[in-house]
Amino acid sequence: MFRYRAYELIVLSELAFPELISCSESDIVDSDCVTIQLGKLNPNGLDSPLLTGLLYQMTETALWLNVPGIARFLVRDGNHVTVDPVPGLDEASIRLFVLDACMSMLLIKRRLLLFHGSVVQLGQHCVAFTGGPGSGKSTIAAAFLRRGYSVLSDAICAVDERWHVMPGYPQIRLWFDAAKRLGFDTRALQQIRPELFKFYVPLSSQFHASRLPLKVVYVLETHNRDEIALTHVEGMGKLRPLLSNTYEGPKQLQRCTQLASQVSVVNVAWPYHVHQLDKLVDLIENDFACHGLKNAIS
Amino acid sequence: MPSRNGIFWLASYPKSGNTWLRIVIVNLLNPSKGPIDLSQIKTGDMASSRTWINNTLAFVDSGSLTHDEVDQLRPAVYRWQGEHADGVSYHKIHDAYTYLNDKTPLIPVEGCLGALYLIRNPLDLVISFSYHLNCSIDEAIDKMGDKHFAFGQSKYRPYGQLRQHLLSWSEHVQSWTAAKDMNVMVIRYEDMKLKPLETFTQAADFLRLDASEEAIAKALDNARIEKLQEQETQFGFVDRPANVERFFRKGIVGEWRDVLTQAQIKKIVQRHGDVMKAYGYLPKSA
Repeated sequence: MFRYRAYELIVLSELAFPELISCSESDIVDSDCVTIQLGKLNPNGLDSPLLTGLLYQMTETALWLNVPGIARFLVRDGNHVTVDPVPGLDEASIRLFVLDACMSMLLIKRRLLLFHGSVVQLGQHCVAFTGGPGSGKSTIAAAFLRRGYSVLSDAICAVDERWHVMPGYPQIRLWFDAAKRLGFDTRALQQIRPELFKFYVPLSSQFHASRLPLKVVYVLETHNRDEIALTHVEGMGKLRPLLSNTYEGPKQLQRCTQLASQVSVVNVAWPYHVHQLDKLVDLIENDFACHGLKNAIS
Repeated sequence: MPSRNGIFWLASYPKSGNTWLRIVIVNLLNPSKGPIDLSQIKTGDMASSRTWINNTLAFVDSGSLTHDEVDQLRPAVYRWQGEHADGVSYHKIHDAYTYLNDKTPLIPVEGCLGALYLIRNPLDLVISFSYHLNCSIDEAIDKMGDKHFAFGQSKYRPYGQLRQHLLSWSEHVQSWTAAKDMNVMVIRYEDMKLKPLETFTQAADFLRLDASEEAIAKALDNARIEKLQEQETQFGFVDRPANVERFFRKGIVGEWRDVLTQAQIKKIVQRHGDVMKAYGYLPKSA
């Protein structure tokens, strides 16, 4: 069994995950553990599911997911993951879907509120970058990384009941174009899957490994104008972007409503030209002061 | 009994009047309002919207899949969305009607109420396409003749849209009009311009939009090119490509006579003549 730490959980895994931080046997004592193992799963799903989606089925205690051509996954009781991969599938692909799909299923079963997004530390707080596919969430987190900021998580932002964000995996995933623009040598980086030109960029000492209270949610979207626009969202106007960018789960509406009263929300519209990235980061850094946050590097 | 729920596809090669059609549809769906502003022009999600696909896949990020893997899932996504639709929804699509390796159509018939296919004279379309792509007319002619032409197929950066195979212009038309078991109505852009009330009435009827002649006339007035140009000047338009000055350009029929060279016309006719004849853009004896 391999032992790792992620989202403040101890992960005991039959599979090796070089993407994760290893931990010792003594770390397991009195810790919240989840297990990952290989096994055969029912191709038809669960008995009497309460909820059925295109690829998944759900009961009170279990989530089953079938990704055609990749694997089937089962999450039980919020702490057991079984993986049934398609024969011959490469290990990097198996790992990617466990880290993403399975972990998000597991964290939802543990009643965390999940955002699609990246989280950057600012002093004793953190800010999240969320938005639709291709809006630049990981790219902007990597730009902050380059400026010396620390990062809590990329891809899955997990928020607890006290509105603290949990530390995730110690890397950011960047597409080739963004990695090149930010000065990362992709020849030295691991691809997330052999067929995809998207890479793991290790956070190393810039991985912030403990929970921080969430202060601001920046909602990114791209537009066809040259300028960058930051717009503070007030009152109940915050609810829609929070709902749109969180995973569906138990009490999602209630929790987003509560979160709206706890955090600031800022809409960020930018042209997604990587040469505008420095300017975008400058503007967001200037915006931190509006929320009582100090630029972490000043 | 015909199904009351499902998807109507609003299908076209780019620059064939799809946005105009959708503006009219939104005006018909909201008859009590005044002219709908351009920021509210949204019928359903576009077929290639990565957000729509991701929301349907739930825990799976399409960005973690290859283009081919995503294509394998698209029929199931559309079938699911159509079969679980609450009523009728209208979705723009630029993809050609293509098939996966196992002969499954990318766009399934299940969950689908039909496809309204818009066609435009390629001689005019190419001018608009060249502006849209910010390329020369000759380059646009080549792209329209390229069976491998696709949007969103980079391997190096993410897009908010999935890869869309367009095929060549002729193949795009033929793919949709010959789609097996698909309820397809073809409308010519030129008829939308020259016989708008009659043409949009036929379209509204096909799309199950219960609209009176008066409502259609009002919607058409709200969607006049001059009004759209004015709105775009004031407020911008989200579908305008970043490197193009404006989306709503001229919207006229026959511009090709003043713009294209004889060599360009000849090239287009050589490549697309059969389909042009079939839809009245060339005499059948040509």
